[in-house]
Amino acid sequence: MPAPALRPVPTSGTSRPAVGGGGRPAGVPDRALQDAWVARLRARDPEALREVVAAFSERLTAVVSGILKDRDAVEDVVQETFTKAWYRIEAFHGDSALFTWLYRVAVNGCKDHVKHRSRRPAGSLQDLGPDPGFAAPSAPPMEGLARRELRLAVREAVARLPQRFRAVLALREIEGLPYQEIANVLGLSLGTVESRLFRARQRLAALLIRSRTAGARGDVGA
Amino acid sequence: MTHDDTFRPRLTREDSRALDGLMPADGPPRAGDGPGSARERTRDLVREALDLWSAESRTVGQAVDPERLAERVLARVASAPEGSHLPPAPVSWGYAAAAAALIALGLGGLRLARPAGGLPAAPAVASQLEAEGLAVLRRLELERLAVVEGR
Repeated sequence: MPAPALRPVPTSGTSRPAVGGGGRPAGVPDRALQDAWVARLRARDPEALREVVAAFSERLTAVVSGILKDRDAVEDVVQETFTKAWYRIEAFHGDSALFTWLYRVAVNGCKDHVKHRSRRPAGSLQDLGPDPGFAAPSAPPMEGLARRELRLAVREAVARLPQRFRAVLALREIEGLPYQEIANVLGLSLGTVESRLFRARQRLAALLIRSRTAGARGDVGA
Repeated sequence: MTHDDTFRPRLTREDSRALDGLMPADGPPRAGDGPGSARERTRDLVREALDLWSAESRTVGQAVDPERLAERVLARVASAPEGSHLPPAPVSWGYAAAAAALIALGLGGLRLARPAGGLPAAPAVASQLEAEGLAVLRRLELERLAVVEGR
């Protein structure tokens, strides 16, 4: 049975762009500027590296923090991404935009980190706790209890997703990349991207509802 | 968010597409899809959760100091001599051990599979091949001489 045709509909209340098309997300410098950075990086221009870091560090850090459970490692992976951009710029063939390549390097850095990280148990709650040394997102002071509970439940549920699911979710939800760009970054087909997004959200819903049900039972028992 | 044990997740592919701003062009509503249905509540829950998670991740991104980060990267690349590259990935000892085990198994299998009389030793095979090669070369040289001398 063929998949039904899809049409974009306006998104409400979010900054995510529509999925269709291959346009760059809002705030990403245009392709000409990115190509100029590539040329200057190849010429070993440190100022170009400063400009690239200034342009992409916030976005890359947000995406990497969404993928990694280990908050301590976020800054290391982002720094490693820009270091690789400097050393391996010759390996960048220009068949995609610089920012797509940087995301690819960052996602691969996350995979390498998970592969080689210290032997802490997967899904450890230690990984989810705030890191006093680096950008710990703290709850807003006036946040309600229910909202805070949901925030914690979401953090724990996302951490329990397989990394391949977190990667597509981060690129779509945090960065707002269209499906085609996510496929380019991760080296997947469009169908696989859509399927992983669906399965990630489905599993997230199940985890959240299970957590809520457990919370309700705890409330009753208390 | 209310506590309700009867609430079960029913997120569908269409819901996931709808969360991305896409909807089936010809998707008739299903039974029980009205406002407040389990399906709609699941979709709202996932939307709210992902919005919270995204906002939190963006907060982490906003806390980065790009200038300090750039300085650290530049200091790192400056400390390495020009033309050098990143250190190679660490050896995976698991793969190395597996490769060694496979080689050992292969060698053991070869020893077991050797016929009773045994294969000729490697130097003997080499000298035999060398002798045959020399014979061929000598024959070619003789034929060339015969052509040159018009015989």
